[in-house]
Amino acid sequence: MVAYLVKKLLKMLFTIWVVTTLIFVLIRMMPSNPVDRYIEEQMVVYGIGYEEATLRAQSLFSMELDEPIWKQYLSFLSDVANFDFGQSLLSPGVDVMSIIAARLPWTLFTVGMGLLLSFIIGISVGALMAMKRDRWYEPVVSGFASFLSAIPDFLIAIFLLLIFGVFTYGMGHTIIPITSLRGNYSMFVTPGWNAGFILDVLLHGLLPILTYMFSQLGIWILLMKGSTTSTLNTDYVQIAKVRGLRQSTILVNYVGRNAMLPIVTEFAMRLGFIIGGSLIIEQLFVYQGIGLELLNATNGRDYPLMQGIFLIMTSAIVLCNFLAEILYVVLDPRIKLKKKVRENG
Amino acid sequence: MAEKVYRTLSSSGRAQRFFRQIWYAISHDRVGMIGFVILAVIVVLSVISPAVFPVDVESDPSSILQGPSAQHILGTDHLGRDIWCQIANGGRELLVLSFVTAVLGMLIGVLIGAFSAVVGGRFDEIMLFLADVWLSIPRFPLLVVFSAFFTLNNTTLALVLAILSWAGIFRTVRSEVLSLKERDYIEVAFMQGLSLGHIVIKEILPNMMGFLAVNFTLLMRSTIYSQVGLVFLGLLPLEQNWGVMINLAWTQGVIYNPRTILYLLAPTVMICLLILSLVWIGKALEDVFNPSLRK
Amino acid sequence: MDNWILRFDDVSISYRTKRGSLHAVSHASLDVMEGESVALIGESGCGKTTLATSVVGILPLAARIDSGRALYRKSDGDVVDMYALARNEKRLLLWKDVVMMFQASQSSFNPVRRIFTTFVDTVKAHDPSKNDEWILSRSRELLKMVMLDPDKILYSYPHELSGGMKQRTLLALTMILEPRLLILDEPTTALDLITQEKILRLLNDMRRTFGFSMVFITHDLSIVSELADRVVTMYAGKVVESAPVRDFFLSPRHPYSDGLLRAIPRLSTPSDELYSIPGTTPDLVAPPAGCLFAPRCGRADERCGRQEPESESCGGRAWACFHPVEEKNAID
Repeated sequence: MVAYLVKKLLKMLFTIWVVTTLIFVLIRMMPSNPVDRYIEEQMVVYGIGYEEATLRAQSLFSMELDEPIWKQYLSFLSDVANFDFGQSLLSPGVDVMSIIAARLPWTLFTVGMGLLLSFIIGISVGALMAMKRDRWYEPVVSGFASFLSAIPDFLIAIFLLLIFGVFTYGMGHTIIPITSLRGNYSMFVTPGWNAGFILDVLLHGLLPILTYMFSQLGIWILLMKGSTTSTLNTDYVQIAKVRGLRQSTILVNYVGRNAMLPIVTEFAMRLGFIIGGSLIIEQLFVYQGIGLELLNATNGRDYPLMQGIFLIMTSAIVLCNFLAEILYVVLDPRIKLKKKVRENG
Repeated sequence: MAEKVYRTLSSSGRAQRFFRQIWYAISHDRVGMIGFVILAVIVVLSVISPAVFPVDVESDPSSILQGPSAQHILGTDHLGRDIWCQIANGGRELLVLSFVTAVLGMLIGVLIGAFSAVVGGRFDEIMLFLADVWLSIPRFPLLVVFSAFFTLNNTTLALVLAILSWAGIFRTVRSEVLSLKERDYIEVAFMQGLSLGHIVIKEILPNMMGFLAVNFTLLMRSTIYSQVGLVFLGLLPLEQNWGVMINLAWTQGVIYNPRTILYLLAPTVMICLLILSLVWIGKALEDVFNPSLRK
Repeated sequence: MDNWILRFDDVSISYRTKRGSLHAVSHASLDVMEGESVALIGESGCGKTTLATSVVGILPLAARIDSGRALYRKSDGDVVDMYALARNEKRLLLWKDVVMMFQASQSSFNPVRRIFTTFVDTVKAHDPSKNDEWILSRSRELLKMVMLDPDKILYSYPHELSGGMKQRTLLALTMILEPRLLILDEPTTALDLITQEKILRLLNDMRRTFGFSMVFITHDLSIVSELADRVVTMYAGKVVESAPVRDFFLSPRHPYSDGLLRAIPRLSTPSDELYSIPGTTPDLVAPPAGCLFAPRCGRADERCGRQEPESESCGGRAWACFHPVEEKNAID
């Protein structure tokens, strides 16, 4: 068990290392990499010597460019390990980490709420559909779920925008005022723990949250329906019924716990998708989160900011993966055995 | 009798049987049939449109952002061009790109996956580990980051997407080959001393065709997602496809102009239809090729 | 002859399929006497499992009970129809009065909980006044009875036990409320021969101790001879023969039962002479007219393909055939 977790932990660190290295290779070692390009540009545009241009690049990228490449690599690794991604190129003097710290909570808030809502609703609906497989509405709900799971999230966002922010339904105004469709909060509220601000934040976040929710909802419904259906058919659930247990006991202790197992591991994977989608969603709603920031950094070729955000995104996903694995071990006592079987097979 | 059976299973009949099976899958499933019809319509439109519904090359300032009319059934865009013609022509690029990417991606994934599963041992373990690692790197942000280092266009995008998607296909192909490897007839082939290549190509791959067909539609879907997403973010050159239409309509603020909402809505719906058709075809195929998932 | 404990009265059960309804059980009637052990035999798909599971009410969603009753006589003499009971009443009867064990009961325990929770859950569902200590000490006694180490079993997870251990644990669990009727669906399939033997011996012992009635389904005629008092043969959803176990083996009357018996390999018969019943089971979505076995029967004539034979009974046994196999007096 401990060995299993250590293995997973090592895998997590390895993944982060791979991404870090990938970024280093992209920035420093590819032909015509941004550092070399910057130096050439400085030399051509300002007519300065190579030495001076290198010096400028050095302070900009916070790399010791005259050191051998492996030393640069090592110092890059240690910087990353200390969460030091240097300073933003576009807003000089501002730490990348402080930009991330300012933007990340907004993305975590919307993505987290969306994922949580979709999870809770999806799991409940999915389990219900599994039990009502013989009713007429089951194919309708399942069909809608597979429709939702197929549509790209940004198209869902467009539909939601049309429904909530464009059509007026003869009322003369839209459901959500147009001013609340963009940005994180309105100009007139003071940030802090006051009701006006919180309501305003919720209103601004509503459409992104709904988008994330709907884009994941279908998958949760389908997964949970499948998982519950197969759990319902297992001998232990059938026997539990024959043993005369109360329906509530069966649902919670027998069906629920077992049906949730395969879903839990899916949670982390979904998070990866949803974070990937946040780039487009935040662009659509001009929501100042980390996805939009990554996009701006990419468009402005702000390499330190790009690498910082991308690493944080990857780390978040990998960390969630790891947490899901731990949760899985806690929920399923068979994990040790399964491992063994897999290794032998 | 025995000879006859052998002949029907021989490789010459295999491709034919495979397509017959696919056709059976689609035609015997109502939803699959709908998917197939939608896809067929899009393909036909893509082929005939350059001749029948050519895209307006010149802008027409006299008819900018008009609603639907007899002359322009879906209205006009911000340059006064007909939207229907753009819709009719807008699927071609997506279809070709997603098809090429899926072919490439399948090739890479299947080769590595089958090889790794057949070789087994340490190599296989390491590959599986790498695939797991690869899968936890968020794909779309990675593509966006890439766009800062390489100029992405449809050709490079197809290549990059195909390479990026290796891990998912690798994992599924590998486990499928592993389970096939356990089957008796494969063991018999090994005992007969047939070469590894022969076994993989002649014995294992044909039995995975259905499974591969299903994954093919999945890969096409994710390619369309990435392509349209990147176009929407303006990270791909603007050519003629539905994603570009959404991008333009969006940047022109068409969404707040209810009269010409079709400019935004039409390509959105088309992309949804294209993806849904692939989903439905994939589902129909899955039902036939993967009986264990039935019910 | 009115001391039955379970009576299937003209039961028909069908499954909804894409092609139409599949008549898995049609007009089956069958009595199980107090203290009796009845073996249900027949090919796969003949409806024996459907019939047995219908009593405890866990038929698949696609199944429908079209007609008939499953009457159960409670210990106080009241007769209830298991098909028509309210959910809660039925829940209280299950496991307290009627228990069922499935085939491959290897997976009968919740994989994520320890075994003892199963014992506790079961007793508390029927008698909340029992405390954990009472339940556990009772479980220990029963586990010892099936020759298991209670301390080890109770606190294990199901995956930590072997197939035979799980089977015996389940057997102990079935006895915890001292039921009056035990329904077993292929109790020993998927077990090795030695474990099989052990389970069979335990079942016989327990029957002597607790005196329950038993219905069990099997493909294995050797188990029938060890465990059954009476043999009921089913074919294509119908009960075709019912006979005391001795008579059944000595001289089956229905040609299908006869075929089943002749298909048993014997050491004395050379293997190339092993008999198998020709043909396959009929399509139960659109069953042919007349006797369903007629197309495969060597004794069938024109009448068999037209008219369905009624059940005839004589001397404690019954069969549904126009041309029954002649009675034999000794094993040939």
